Amino acid sequence: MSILTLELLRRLSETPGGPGDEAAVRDIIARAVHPRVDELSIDNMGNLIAIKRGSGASSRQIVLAAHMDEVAFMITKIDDDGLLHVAASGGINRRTVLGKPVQVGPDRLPGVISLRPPHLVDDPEEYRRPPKLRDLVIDIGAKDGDEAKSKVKRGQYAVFRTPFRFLAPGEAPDPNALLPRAGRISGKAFDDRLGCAALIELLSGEPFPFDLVGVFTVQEEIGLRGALAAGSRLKPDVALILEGTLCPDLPGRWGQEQTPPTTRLGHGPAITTTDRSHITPPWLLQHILRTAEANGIPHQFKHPNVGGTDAAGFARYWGTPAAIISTPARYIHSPIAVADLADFWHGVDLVKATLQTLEQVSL
Amino acid sequence: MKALIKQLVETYGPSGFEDEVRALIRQHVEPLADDIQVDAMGNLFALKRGDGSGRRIMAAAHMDEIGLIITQVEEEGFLRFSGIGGIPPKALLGTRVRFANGVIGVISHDGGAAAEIGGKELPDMGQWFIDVGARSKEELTVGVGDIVSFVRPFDDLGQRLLGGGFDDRVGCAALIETMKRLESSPHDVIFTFTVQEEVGVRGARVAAFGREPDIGLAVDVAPTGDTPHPRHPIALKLGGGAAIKVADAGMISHPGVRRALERVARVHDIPYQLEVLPFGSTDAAAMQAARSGVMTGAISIPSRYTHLTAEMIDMDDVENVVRLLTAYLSDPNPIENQE
Amino acid sequence: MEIKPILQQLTQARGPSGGEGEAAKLVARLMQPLCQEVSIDAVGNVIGLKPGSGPEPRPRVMLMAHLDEIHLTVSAIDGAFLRFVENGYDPRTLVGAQVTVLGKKPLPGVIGDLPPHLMTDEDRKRMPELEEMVIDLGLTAGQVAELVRVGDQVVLDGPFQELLGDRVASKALDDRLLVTTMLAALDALQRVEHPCDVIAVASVQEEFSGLGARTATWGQRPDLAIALDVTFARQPGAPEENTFPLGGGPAIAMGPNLHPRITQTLLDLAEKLEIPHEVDVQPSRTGTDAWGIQVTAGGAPTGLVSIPIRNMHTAVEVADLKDVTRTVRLLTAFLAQADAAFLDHLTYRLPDFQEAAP
Repeated sequence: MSILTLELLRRLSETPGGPGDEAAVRDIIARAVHPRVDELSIDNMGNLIAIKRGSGASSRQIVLAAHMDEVAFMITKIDDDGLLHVAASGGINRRTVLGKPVQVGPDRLPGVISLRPPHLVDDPEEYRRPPKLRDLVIDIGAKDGDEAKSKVKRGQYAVFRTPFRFLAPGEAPDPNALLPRAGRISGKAFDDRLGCAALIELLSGEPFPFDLVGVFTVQEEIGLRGALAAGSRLKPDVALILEGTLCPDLPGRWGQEQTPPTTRLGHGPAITTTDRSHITPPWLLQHILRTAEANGIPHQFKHPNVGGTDAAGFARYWGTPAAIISTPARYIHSPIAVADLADFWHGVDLVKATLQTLEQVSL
Repeated sequence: MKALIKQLVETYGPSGFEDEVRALIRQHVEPLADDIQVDAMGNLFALKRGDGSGRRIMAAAHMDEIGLIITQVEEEGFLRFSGIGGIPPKALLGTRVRFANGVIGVISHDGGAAAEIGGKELPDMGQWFIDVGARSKEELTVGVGDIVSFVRPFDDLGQRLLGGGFDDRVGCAALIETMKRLESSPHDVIFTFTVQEEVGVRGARVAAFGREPDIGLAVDVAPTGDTPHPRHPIALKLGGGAAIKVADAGMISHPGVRRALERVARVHDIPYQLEVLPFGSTDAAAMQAARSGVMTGAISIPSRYTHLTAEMIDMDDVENVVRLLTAYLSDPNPIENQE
Repeated sequence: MEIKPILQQLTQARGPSGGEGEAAKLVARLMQPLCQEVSIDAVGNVIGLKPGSGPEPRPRVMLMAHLDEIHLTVSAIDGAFLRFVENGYDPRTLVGAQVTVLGKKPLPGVIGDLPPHLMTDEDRKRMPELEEMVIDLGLTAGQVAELVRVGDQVVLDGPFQELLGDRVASKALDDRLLVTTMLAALDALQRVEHPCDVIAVASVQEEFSGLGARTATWGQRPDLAIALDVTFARQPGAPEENTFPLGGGPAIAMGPNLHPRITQTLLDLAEKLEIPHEVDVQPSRTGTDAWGIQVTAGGAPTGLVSIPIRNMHTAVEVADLKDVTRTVRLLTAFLAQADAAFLDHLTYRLPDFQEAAP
């Protein structure tokens, strides 16, 4: 009963949705889950809440959450030359922005992040420093300020424009067939459109013994804002957060040995022990690990103590036990990330198995 | 009280992993409480009911201590880590650590003791490691995700105590002792032992949201300004009395609560000092912001060398904190409004 | 001739310096209907000949735009990742870039960066160095060993994007924009008489060693040549002195690398035809094919016409296509007047010794 296709994943990855500007992404998700859930609503923050009633065997309520937003730019000024000045909404990696294509505003106008040519740079120090945000400009090809202002407005968002790609060699799979279980993909916003895809998948299947509340949150990247709002209202028994997480398994400087990374692509979903905003309750962590082992699902730890997720938002007011199961993705917060579909599907399987056995664990 | 303090500081309990210390505290408070509860996060609540005429007061001390979490494992068996709570890097070199399963190790950093890395005297967190004496990765019985606490012997210097973890096990001891001495009170007092204070006062927030007190009181340690050439102008002195917090970097005490504390101290001849800290935060900051707000203050035990493996406290200060707590919680006027 | 679709095709073709094959085939195909003869020489230059009208011997005028684009080269295989050296790209633009590795077949890849969550304060203040970067194909080490070898070339992906008005963004506008211009000029010459034989050359390796310019000049022995390349458009941080407004028309170069009378003729024609243009002051090496052409095989009088673009040497170069149309008009007019008398005009003459020295 899966509805996930490469095409749906492509649309989720490519559609713009900065913090506060998630409507287009929310629309795609709502249309996808609508036939499979019992209730669908949008709260005051813009979070999309989907309720899948349980079979009645359990009185518990479990929240699954994924965030719809991605890191983005907002236009702060349109200058007389028609160039757009921006500020960042969310933690964009400044080292990766120069010379990259972007899409601006609701009409997704093509633009580029400009970069003055190296031939014209005298100062070798400038060369070695990442740009300051206030020195960036986006060029949409306007001949002057008036033309630019007729097409875009201050306060509109710009996100990277990155085509979604299936990387494995050989025949490209049919985009409308069900999502392949293996192969690597590249694209933007894997943090956290991969989590959204996983949540869509989990909401599309058979009901669980308990009521499942799927929350597609907004504004995670600027401080777990949607989750805070939803968390102050919802009081589930357990919350599981589905994320796209960092995967630092690069070899580093040539010739220098690296400390082996904790999270690696292709080694299964990454389970959080702690991050900067949340400590997974040990009993819940152990349950997930035991479930993974019992079901033969490859898994690994996410590099402890870095980053933050919606788990802290859901735990904040009522102490809801929360865990985070993520698909590792290389290069998050940059224009293009790389992930492994095998990791993605193992993550979905692990969440499903964890939920099915949650009944056995006393809360 | 020294024995109680010793027992508490020698128990393993870094943020998020407070089970052992909670069990220990529960043993002490269960016989003293009218009701015991543990919430979803692990906060321990020991309720002492009042006579019904007073307020609902939450008095909180945190059970957790700072620690380190293992993030990566080298082939040769060295363990890389990251901090749980505020870790002063200066304190790490050569320090012993203890894992939950009893394994002991020592901390060093890339390049060894003499190394200056990247022109800085102290390397970044990623350049430190723990050595448990394993000959290879395969010999290890610990790994990624394990959390260590610091090994810190307890020494009774007579008037003063030297040891690690007084932050905030001495606060817990003070609450336990107050429970013993509190004979009667108009107020319902929820003696709360919180979790995860060191990583962002997370337990206290959930505790206050969940229990909805009218008044909140945090009991923690506060650094003194009485060692040679202190960096910050702090008026607190070891042995100067119970510290009544006016403000720190995370909150400003409710004036009514603070004034009441001062009045109680004066009336009962309890030596006290006023505390203003230019940095730091406690459970009080989280309690104050719960729901539509809680009138919150804080009492501190002055301490030198906070977060190092040898903190120092004065037993007179501890005694005065207990006296102040007991007197305040028995007092029918917990809020002193300005007329 | 429709500029945009041709430009799009040309920019998206892959043709790194020394590996111009795919792009060369495309240019040859596009030249076919416009020339009497199309050939590819020993080093890969694509050469199209369009004879003029009028009596022989006709002046031989060479137009040259370079075929190659900047690239990276795989220098080592590091497990599942590729190490590389950089040939022309601004390294600041490599981090977070989408690339194509020209291995056994074209392979999509990524040059990524550490997640910011794991960066130290030091990391945040500096750009990564080339020695820290790798290309990630999302393949296993085994697959990589089978599909990629040291020496394989890599180009950054830079899709053709239509911006506002006549502006476009794409990779390789340097110099496929001028290859397109050259083809459009050949097309315009179908309808305009020209007394000279036009030799249109899409040259190789301008970005590397200038090999194509020197070898083509040697092979063709033109009487004069116009090099066609891109120049710097105005953009924030770029000094005003030698940058030109985007959409302000072609920049006509003057200086020691260029023959003064070719420069003057171009300027006069631009004025007469009211073609917006700029003067590009080049005090020494122009950094284009003109440098090689000028001194080869006895030397050929050379001119240089450039179209300004933004973000040179990235995958998102930006140009105004109005400048293509203007440059075509200018070139067409130039070629229409390049007769034997013009050649004579270019010849340096000794003073008349009978006349008294001034």
